[in-house]
Order: sequence, then structure tokens, then C-alpha cells
Amino acid sequence: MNLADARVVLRPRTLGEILDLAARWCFNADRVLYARVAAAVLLPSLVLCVVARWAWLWSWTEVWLLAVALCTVAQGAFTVATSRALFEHDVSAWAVLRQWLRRLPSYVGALLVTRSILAIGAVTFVLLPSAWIRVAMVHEASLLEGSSPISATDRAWQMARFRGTEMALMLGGLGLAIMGGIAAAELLGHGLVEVVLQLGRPLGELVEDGGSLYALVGFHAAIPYVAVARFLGYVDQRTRGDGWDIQLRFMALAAEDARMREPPQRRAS
Amino acid sequence: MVTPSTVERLDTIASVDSPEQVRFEYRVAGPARRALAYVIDLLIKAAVLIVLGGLLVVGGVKYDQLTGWSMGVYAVVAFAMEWGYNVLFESLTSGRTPGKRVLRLRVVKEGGHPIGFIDALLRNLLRAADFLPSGYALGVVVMGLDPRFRRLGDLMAGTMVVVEEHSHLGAAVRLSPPPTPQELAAMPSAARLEPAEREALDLFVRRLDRLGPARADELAGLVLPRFADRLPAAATGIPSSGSPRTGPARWLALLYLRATERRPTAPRSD
Repeated sequence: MNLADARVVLRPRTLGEILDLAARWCFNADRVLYARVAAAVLLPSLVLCVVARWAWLWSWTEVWLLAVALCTVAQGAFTVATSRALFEHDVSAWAVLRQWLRRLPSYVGALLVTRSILAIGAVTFVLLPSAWIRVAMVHEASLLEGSSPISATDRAWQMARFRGTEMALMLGGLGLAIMGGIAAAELLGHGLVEVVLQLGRPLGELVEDGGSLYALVGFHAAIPYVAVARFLGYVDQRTRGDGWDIQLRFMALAAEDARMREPPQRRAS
Repeated sequence: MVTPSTVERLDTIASVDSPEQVRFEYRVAGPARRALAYVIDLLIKAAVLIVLGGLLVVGGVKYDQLTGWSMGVYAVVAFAMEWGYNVLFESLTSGRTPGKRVLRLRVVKEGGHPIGFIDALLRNLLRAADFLPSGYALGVVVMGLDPRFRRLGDLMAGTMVVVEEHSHLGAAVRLSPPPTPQELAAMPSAARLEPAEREALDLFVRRLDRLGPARADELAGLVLPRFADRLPAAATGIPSSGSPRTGPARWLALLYLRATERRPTAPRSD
């Protein structure tokens, strides 16, 4: 990992900057890579939700639970893709998926451990937000730091120490982004199908029915943004804790020094 | 060896070159912060319309609905709020609606100048285009693709939304534990730092308490040879390892303090 090759400027950022930078990343990053990863992990999830709703006649509550469960695991592929694309050029979707699949058993284990903690927190209700904040970075700890499920949970717990407010705001921002994705897709879908094509509401209605195909699409479409924003939050934390921005400045000074030591002929060439 | 990267790095800072060849940097606001400011403004507009609707219902005698002239007044005010709220606030308060004020955002011209009434009018008229096909979808896409997060209205009016920064003088650098007179005396008295070195060391020393001791020494090790060569008299005193009290990070911090300490100026003879 060469910090000098990072696709984003490494410096401590505010939460607002992180969320804005994530939006820029989503529109400027390697679109082919993200499209392929989405086709591999998000499309099957969406298809399964559609089948559950219209073929197996599941209720919308069950469909949403399925979508949340599938996308919680699927977002890990985007975490891996973003971490690779941050420092490498020409990252292949296959390489990303291979790394994600290799870590999948441990990652799912870490998710099960953290979701169990959330379930315990949910029983008391008051502890749920606190628990959620503490395990928010488990995706990065498990997938990028190669930790076992328990170690990843512990690492995520450590990362959130003394950063409760920031993490809570980050989770709130990501929640709003997901709701924004759902609302935008719902409006767009109804605008096209009901208003333009005059086909009525054959695919459900979010407010009246509790869900629709458009809302499901919007939910899935927001997942890459959520993964990118949380990963950039993780990078911000590493930048602050490990001084990545300081390292870059020191490396630049050291490189300048090395250039000055070179013989004048080589320096000129 | 570090090679300068040729990759364009993503950031949320926009540089503006003035005609006097001075470069200014602005932190530009993207979709996340602007959406939040928009929601705050939306809530304010909704609150005004709800209060107005209540007053008109009471004033129009019919307690269950708006009718006749009261409906007309309500429609006119709602129209004015929809199209005039942003124009009014942005042109009267130098680019800030209440929502933007809360989030410390400001609309400015691309050169950093304050916007005028025409600019505010133009960028808000184009709001309708940014809204297409629904939920500001086009505006968000255009913003995401533009390096300065400009939506169509901003592109048309030549404006951008920046984050106001509260500038304040940096607190004096403190080292923990404080340097002893012996430590400072052991450092070269006339240590001169180049601007880039001073900037990098300032960043390093200010963050020293948040870096782990081993990591701080590792970082310090990157630039120690540079100073070892430049300051031969002090080179023998540079530690290669040691405790937080004596290690390379401490040595570098002491060098910075020594180089930046204020020396008393000699009294003028006249």
C-alpha cells in the first residue's frame, strides 16, 4: 500500500466532508468495476427479494428483512472494492469478489456476533444505539484487517471508543442516505409507470403497501454509497490515528532529499 | 522511494486563482451537506405555511377547510415561498438561507465574490431543471460529476456553495512532558526550517499525543536523515530508538520547538 498513490487526498475530515467525498467517489470511481460487483452481489439479492414477494407471496415485512440481511453481507464486496480502488489502478471485479469470498465465512461470523450484540441491546432498547455505534466498523475490521469474528468485533469496539457522537452522526447520515435512495426511486418509479405510462400501481406502493419494487431498487442502489462512506470514515480514522497525512508530508520531504542527493546528471534526466 | 502520483486525487477543496496570481482554497459543499440545509429550509417553509393555513382557516370562518379568498391568499404565499424564499435570503444575506446558515454554508461566485440578486435568481430558477425527473436526481448526478459540486443552477449562474471556516490562531504547541532546559540547550540554537518542513513538523508535533509512541518514532524516522545531514552538530544527538521521552519523535519535536521559539529581540540603541 503506497499512501502516495491514494485516489483521495488523505487528511482529517469532518463527517460532512466524508459524506460529500463519498458522493464524489461514487460518481467518479471505476464505474465498470462497481457495475460488475453490483451485478454479482446486488442483482441476485434484488432478484431474490422480488421472487420472495411475488412468487412466494412473502409479506413486505419479511421481504424487507430479507433485503436488509442480504445487503448487509453484500455491502462487504463494495468495502473491498473501494479499499482496493483507493490504492490500486485497474482493479478487476474478479479480484475483488475473490477477496470478499475468501473472507466471507469470517465476515458472516463477525456479522452474526455483532447482530447478536445488537439483539441483546434491542431487548433493553436503551442500549441498542450505543451497541450499534460500537460495532459499526465491523465490516472494515473483518474484511480489511483480516481479523477473526471475535477479534473483528473487539477491533470495531475499540475503533468506536471516544468517537460515539461522530459514529452516531455517521450512522444517522447513512440511514438518511438509504431513506433518500428509497424515496427517490419510489418517486421516479411511480412517475414513470403511473404518470407517464399510465399503468397504475402494479408493482406496489411504499406508503400504502409497505413496499414496492422501486423502493427495493432504491434500497439496493444506496448500498454502494453506504459502503464507500463508511470506508472513507474508516480511512479518516486511520489517517488521524496513524498519521497518514503526516507520513505523506514526511515522505515528500524524504523524496526531495533523495533527489537532491542524486548526481546532477541523473537529476536533470 | 516516493514517486509523485499522476492520479487526480479526489477532494472537497476547490482552488481559485485570483487575477493577482493569488490562489485561494475553498471547501466546497456537496450533496450531503446541501441536502441537510435544504431539509432545514423545507421545514421552515412548511412551518410558515402550516401557521398561515391555520390563521386563514380561522379568519375564513370555515373551520374545516380553506375556501374563497383565503385559498387564494394561501396559494399566492405558497407560490412566493417556493420561488422566492431562496432568492430572497441568498440575495439579502450574502448567499445564506437559514438552512445554509445552520450548516455554515454560503453561495459565492466562482471567483469567491459574494453573489447578487441576478445570480440568486438564476441559480434558483434552474432548481426546476435540477429537480428532474424527481427528487433532485439530475442535480445530484451533475453535482457528483462536477469537481466543485455545482448543480445545473450553479453552472448557469457561475456560483458554488462553500463551507465557511472559522479561522483562528493555532494554540501554542505543547510537548508532554515539557522540554527541560537541558534538552533545549542540547539542540542546535540556530535551527532553520524551510516552510514545508515547518508545516510538516507543526502537523506532527500537534498530533503527537494522539499517535502511538512507536508510530510517532516510525514517522519521525522518515525525516531524521534529512535533519541529520543539515544539522551536523546535532547529528550525534539523534536517537535511533528510545522511550517516548528520548526517542526520535521527541527529538524532532524539540527541534521544532527550538526552531520556532520566539527569541527576545535586542533593544534598539537609539
